[in-house]
Amino acid sequence: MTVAAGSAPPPEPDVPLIYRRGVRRLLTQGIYVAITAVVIGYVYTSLDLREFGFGFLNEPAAFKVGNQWLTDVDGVTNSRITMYLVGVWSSLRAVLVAIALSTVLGVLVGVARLSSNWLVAQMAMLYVEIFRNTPLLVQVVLVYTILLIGAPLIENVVNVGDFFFVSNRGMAMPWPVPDGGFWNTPDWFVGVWVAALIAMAVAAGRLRALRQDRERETGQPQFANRWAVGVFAVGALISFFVLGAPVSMDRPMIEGTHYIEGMVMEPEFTALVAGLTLYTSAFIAEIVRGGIQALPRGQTEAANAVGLSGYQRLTLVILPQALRQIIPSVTNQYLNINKNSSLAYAVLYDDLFRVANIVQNKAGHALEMFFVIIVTYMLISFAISLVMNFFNARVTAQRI
Amino acid sequence: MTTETASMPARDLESAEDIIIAENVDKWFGDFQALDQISMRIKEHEIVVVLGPSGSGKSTFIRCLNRLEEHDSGRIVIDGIEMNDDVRNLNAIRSEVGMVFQQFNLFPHLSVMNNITLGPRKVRRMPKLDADALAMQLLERVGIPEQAEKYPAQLSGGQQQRVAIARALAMQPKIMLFDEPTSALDPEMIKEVLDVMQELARSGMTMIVVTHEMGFAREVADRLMFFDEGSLVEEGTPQHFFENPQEERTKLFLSQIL
Repeated sequence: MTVAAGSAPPPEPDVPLIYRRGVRRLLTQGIYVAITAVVIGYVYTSLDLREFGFGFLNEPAAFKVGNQWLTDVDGVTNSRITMYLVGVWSSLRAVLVAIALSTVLGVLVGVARLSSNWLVAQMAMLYVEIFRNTPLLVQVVLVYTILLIGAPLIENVVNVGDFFFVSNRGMAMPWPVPDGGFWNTPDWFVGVWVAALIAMAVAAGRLRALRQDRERETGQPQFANRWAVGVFAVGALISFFVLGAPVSMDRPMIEGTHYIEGMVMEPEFTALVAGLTLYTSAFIAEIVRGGIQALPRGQTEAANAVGLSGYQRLTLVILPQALRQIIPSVTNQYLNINKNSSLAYAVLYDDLFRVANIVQNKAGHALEMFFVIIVTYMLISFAISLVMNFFNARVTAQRI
Repeated sequence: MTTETASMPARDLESAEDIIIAENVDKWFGDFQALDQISMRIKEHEIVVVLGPSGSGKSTFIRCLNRLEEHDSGRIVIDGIEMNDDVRNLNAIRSEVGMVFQQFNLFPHLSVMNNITLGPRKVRRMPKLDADALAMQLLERVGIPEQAEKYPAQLSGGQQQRVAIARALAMQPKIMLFDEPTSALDPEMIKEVLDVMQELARSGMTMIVVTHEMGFAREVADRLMFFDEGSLVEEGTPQHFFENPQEERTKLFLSQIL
């Protein structure tokens, strides 16, 4: 249909209201707002919010929290929020250790699945299939059961040179603790030594960079890493004695049916971390495998043609490129570790969720406690995402 | 083999040593025989162009020469080194043989400079300073010294392939293998890569080139080989090939490609 030049355009057709886009949008928005209002209104009127508030968290706890490390609170004089934070610390510990272990294990298994060694590849596949296809809860409880039943009673503890103990109460090993040392300094004096260590680490890092620069300029090997480690080690030793040896190793001992002193890894902690690690590393292994397989075959061939060894090929050519694919998916797995750590409930590990439940049993205020629990998990997740996004931005800075 | 005058500067191929020896090489991919009793000798400084339709085994053959593919039977000897299960031999052969791929296969996460110096530094343990100097020298040779700090994705195909040639040369190989080096390039970039290869040929490098560039084959090659269905069907000088091919399959192939 053509319109002759100069002729008036046809009159604008009259569109009924119901067919107008603006009206349609307004209508759907209105329906959405109405439904939301009804739901919120219903929840609000059903809840008894007369008692709503967080004051109860400041009241004395009057309950014990187990699995403490680096803290020593008995719950008698401490508030409920203090006990809750002890639980948060226990969760964080389990999550951080599980993240570290599952990453190492996941990369190893993922690479092993692609091994040209048939047996290694099959073992890795078996590992993945077992731990990816069984529930995490079952794995955590299974490890816990093995640790409780399989490990010797504490009366028959396995004692490795009075340094390392294994029993159904867990594993115990020596741990550094503040010590008055030669000059009977107060505990906080350890901080001086720690500060000295940090200063020397920075100095050693600087030295390393300087020597690397010199190697680059002169082409003469400058042994940057050896120098840095050596300077740090000597400095640490000298400052330790100059400050009067403010730290000593606390060796574990057994009193009755309990370990005292030293660092104790209790079966609850071990079971939770082992379960999270086994389960998550199977997923990370698949992510790593996928990331590597997504690379063109030519990369491997070019690395071979240049003469790189298998290990050099992996660390210099394959993994640096695969990381781009891997990091976002692995971040999801880290977030899963955080959320799945609440399965501590099943093995009586006093993580944040379990402590929160104890508080709620004592004080009521279920709504407030769940609010606190959800906010805590979200904050930990945000922190993990933040770190991983930073890492991802660094890896993907160069467009390839 | 009749000696014809090539358009190359005089290189005394008659008295040169055999640097590549292949005897009765077979290669199977499952039930498919990719190479069938390939035997040949290539002299040091010789330029050999390998022709053949796709699937003829020509790429497979040159990939066997640095063990990107493992041959199933027969012998391959590179510069006196037996290609066998001895890992020391494999490492020695890989450092004697450079390879340039159809798809360039540069390392995209490394700068041009680091692509070239990776091998010398990590395999030859060359100090960074020396490796950088070597890389700049090679980039001058392939004509793109100004691209040293760029990344592969920032370069044209022709430039990428020239970096790939520099990367292979950085290991100071005695033999260079080219697996269809210009097939993935836009037409206007083919010449810049062929020019670099021609310069390399003039410098006395032993080269085996799988290509469909007949101009290059005619001008630069000392000898042409025609592969079909995994067999070495015919070989001879460019003159023999383009003027007087003997085998029916060779004639058919040349009639289709010329």
